[in-house]
Amino acid sequence: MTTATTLPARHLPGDPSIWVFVLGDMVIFGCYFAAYLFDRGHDHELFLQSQQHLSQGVGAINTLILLTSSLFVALSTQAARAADLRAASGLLTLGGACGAGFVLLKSYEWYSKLSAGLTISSNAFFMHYYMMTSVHFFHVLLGLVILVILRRELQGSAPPRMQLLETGATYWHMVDFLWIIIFALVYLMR
Amino acid sequence: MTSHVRNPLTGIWLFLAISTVISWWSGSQHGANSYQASTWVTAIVVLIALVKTRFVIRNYMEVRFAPLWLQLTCDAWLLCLFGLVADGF
Repeated sequence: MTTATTLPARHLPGDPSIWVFVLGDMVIFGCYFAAYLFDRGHDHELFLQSQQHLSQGVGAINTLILLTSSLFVALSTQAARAADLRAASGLLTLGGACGAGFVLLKSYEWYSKLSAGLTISSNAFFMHYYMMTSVHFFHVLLGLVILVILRRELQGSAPPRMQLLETGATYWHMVDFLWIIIFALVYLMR
Repeated sequence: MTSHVRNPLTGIWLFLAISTVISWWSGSQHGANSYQASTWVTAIVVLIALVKTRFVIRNYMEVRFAPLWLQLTCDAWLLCLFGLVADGF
């Protein structure tokens, strides 16, 4: 709809520097995933046994929360392009609320695992689990700060800078898709 | 509100949410064989994750409107990820 009609045929969303960051992060997380799969290949049984201690339901709900958050942020970007700043700001707030929900649920999940004695030093699986999920967690926290900055941009007196909004949205969507892969590799694959 | 419901991005979200539930059901433990290795479960779960990721990258990140080099780079990354998983089986 608005995306197709208001964007030029070829348009790099956001500031070009965000793509250096995003592609760099994709390489770094790709290395994490490779290391995880390498270790998993060497002790498949341990990884399967350890995986049963994770809460697949919590992981799935967190996936749905981040997907919903991404939808709100994408709709907010479209609304801002259409100069509907009130809707854009409201949608961004909803996106941030979902992100905060992810943080709370993830914290609860860690708390329950740590309470059960499952720590980063328990075994190789939990080392990867805590490493990957905590690095991702900090990405979410940074993303929440960025969403607050974007919301201020939308509520300012000057017209919002679309490139800034697209840059922040690009970062937030990256946080979303990295979690999709973490959920599949760490929680579900057998 | 109605425009948001009819927005193609919302349709994509519905697809992503349903895929997540299918993936969750496939990868969760069912019955006595719950913790056995399964190439089928892994294949389903990983393929769904890669398809979902591509949808997020192309539609939410708007990479489908981006220059071709970026579209190809993102697809190459997904292919490498698939290769990494396939290599382990």
